[in-house]
Amino acid sequence: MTIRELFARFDTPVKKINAVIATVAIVVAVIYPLAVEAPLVSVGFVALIFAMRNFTWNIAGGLAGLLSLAHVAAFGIGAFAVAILTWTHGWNVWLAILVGMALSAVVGVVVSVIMSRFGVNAFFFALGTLALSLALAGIAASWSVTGRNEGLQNLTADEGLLHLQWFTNPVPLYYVALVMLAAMVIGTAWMVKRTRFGRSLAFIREDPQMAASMGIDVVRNQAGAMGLSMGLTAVSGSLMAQYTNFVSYDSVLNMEIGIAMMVGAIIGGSATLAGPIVAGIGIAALDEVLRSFDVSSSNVSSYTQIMYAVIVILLVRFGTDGIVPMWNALLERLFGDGSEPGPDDLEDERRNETEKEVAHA
Amino acid sequence: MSTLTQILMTGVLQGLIYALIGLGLYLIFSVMRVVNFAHGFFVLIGMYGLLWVAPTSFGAYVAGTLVVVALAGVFGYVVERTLIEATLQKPGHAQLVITISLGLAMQYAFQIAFPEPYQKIANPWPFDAIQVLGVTVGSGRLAAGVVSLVLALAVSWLVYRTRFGALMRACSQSLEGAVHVGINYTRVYRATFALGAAIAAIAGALLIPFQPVSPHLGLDLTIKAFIVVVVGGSESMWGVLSAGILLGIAEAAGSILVSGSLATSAIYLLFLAVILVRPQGLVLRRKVSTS
Amino acid sequence: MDTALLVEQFSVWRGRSEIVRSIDLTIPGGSLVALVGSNGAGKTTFIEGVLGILPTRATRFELFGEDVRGRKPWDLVNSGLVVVPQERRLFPAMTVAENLDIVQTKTTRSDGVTYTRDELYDLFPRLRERATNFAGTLSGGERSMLAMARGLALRPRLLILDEPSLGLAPVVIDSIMATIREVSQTGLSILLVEQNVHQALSMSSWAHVLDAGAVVASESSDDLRGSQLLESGYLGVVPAGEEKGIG
Repeated sequence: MTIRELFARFDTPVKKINAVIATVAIVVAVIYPLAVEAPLVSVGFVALIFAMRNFTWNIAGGLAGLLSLAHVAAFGIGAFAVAILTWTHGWNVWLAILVGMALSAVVGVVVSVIMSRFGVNAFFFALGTLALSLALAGIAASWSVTGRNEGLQNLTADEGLLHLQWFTNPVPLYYVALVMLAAMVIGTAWMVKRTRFGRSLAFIREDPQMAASMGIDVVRNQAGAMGLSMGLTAVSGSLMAQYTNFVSYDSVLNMEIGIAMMVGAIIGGSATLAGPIVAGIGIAALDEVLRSFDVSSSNVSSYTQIMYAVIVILLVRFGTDGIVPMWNALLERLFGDGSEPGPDDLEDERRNETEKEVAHA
Repeated sequence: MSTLTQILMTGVLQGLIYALIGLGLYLIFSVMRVVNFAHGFFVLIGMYGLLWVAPTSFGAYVAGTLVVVALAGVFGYVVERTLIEATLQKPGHAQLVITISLGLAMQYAFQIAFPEPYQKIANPWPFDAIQVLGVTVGSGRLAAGVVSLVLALAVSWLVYRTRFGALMRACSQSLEGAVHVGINYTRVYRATFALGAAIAAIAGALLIPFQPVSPHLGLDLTIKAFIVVVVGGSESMWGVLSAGILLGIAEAAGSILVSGSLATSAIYLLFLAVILVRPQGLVLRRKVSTS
Repeated sequence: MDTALLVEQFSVWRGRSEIVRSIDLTIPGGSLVALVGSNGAGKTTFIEGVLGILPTRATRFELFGEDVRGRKPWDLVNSGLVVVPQERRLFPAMTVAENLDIVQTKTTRSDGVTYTRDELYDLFPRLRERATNFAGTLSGGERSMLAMARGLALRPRLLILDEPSLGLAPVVIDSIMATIREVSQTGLSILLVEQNVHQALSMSSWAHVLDAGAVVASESSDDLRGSQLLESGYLGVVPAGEEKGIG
């Protein structure tokens, strides 16, 4: 694609504005760790992890419409894979990450296939995945391999990219997370746009029966989405483990993480690719700001959690789709040509999202 | 032998409370086809409400319970009116997301209001632990089980023998039919949701004398309520009652045989299996064309 | 005689599509009026619009001279507008008697037709025999009868019957139509919606013909019976007697 072609795609004011924003965001994301102190780099890393897990949840939850609460299991599997294989048994950490991804993907596929096989509806899907996550947390809490209540500590001494560990400097880990997030976003954007599988997800989300009548293998593609989504979610768990150097059932298999992914994706706009990322970074930033006001109070996180829940309730209650769609609607109203958005425009909007994400990389 | 008696006694009494909690969820589900993920947190209203009242006498306990339960009913009514009603016409996941978020908000609100975890109240009942069949049963547990059973029977009387119950059954069996005979179903819905919340709060008030409360308990109780409703089948209230007792016994047996968290895991996995075996336990409502 | 129902520029939407488009229609009080039209003409949509189940728009929508635009279904039922739906919409896990009990309206209206339980059972003797059976176990004919009895128990001033003969055996249809005539003779205003055009026209004094969401003819039933409209097969009319077993 030539530069000219690239620019030709941003042919409306809205697209141009979003392209500029995305470009600025990327530049800021790249420069950020070089411009701020180490503690703030860590905040940036956490923000990227939030963005990443919202984004990966959204592949199943938003794009394919599978409201899953099993993703916290993937996050936990990713974290425990690193903790058990690398910290306890001395495997290479990248290998451990791959094992975590594979295991999570398998869990995702199996859960999805079994649920489809038995004709489980959306409520049961949520309930069943919730039960699975809670069951795994209970097992981790009483299994010696996963450290029971005490958890597992990272005592390895190797440093460097090969070991994904830097003792004093958070910058390299930040960039690892950024590159991984970028890779996931590019890959997903490409998948949604260019592959039959990716394009089928929207149809499955809107109406599975209709999708089936169009010749889409709904069961297989739902399982694929769940597998991909959970496999990628494991990565954020692994990275988080390498960052905190401590993993216990309560820190990584906590249901609140699973709900936070869902809440974050919905606040951002679960039908978009950019939404979950925007919300993840926004939530992390807001957490930090609130914490800076009142460092000692443990209630801060409770207040913010309540606030997010309330925002989600209001969004759903009033039928809006989240921050990014609202933002696009606002731009459309300010700079659009005033015509009612027809199906083509919506298609454009979706493409615009995708474009933005590609740019985001 | 006495272990078995112990398991059965504890299990049945605890199970009756689960049945009562499940009954509230069941009513809301079967009348409105609303899957209320916040139900367990309605139980917490009763628990924390009584913890706040901290009754020192039986009279204060009863009075406190009545007030807290009434407030829970009002809360349920407001929630139904402001949040649930708007989601009835929307795709299923709207309800799901709203009720999960509501539960989450309540959990953290309790966290802020009651930072001290695992508290309970002093025994409010005017009698102490008693010996039954060679097993010592705490007064709180015994009273909670018995009162739950009585209340479950009272609810069944309400549903099958009163005018309001007939309206609930009408909405449950055919919402379109209810509309055609001039039943104001929105009112029935509001009342049902308020009733479900109130029943949950009563269960909470019964639990708090012997069950230490923490905000996380809400999710746990929600799941258990779902287990009860799904295992019991959405067709009958008696199914709900027996499923509750079954769950109580399974839990009591599990907690004696293996460690606490494993027993809970086993129950969740069992629930997963039940979902797979009887996905018809909760049937989604086909879209209703009432505007 | 006053007017039971009057609508002007009445439109009804189902989802996003306007099914009934800006129709004018009048039902004189105390008469039996037929609403006929082929399958998909919008008859049921019109009825659901009148009952307030579907969204509507109208310049006039009056029930016995009273403006009832924007009323909720339960308010309309309490004002005497009773619909006996095509799908019957009974309460399957309640007995026949309970189905009739549920409608005990607290209304203090003195007008409208009042039927006691016994009178309803006299009208539909079959229901008396099955009073303690669950509605879900009834046959098609019995279900139609129960739906109608339940409608009458609501003390209607205007009774709208949507396809009461749908899916029934001819002998049952005859019995039900005879009952409708009998009820009509009490002076109750009835709108009879039927695919069975011959049957409907033979019973009614006036008829409206609905096609593709519009009223294409409103004339006396006798005139309509001889008119070209029927001859042309425009209404999807098939020779009488072959209509059983639809649905």
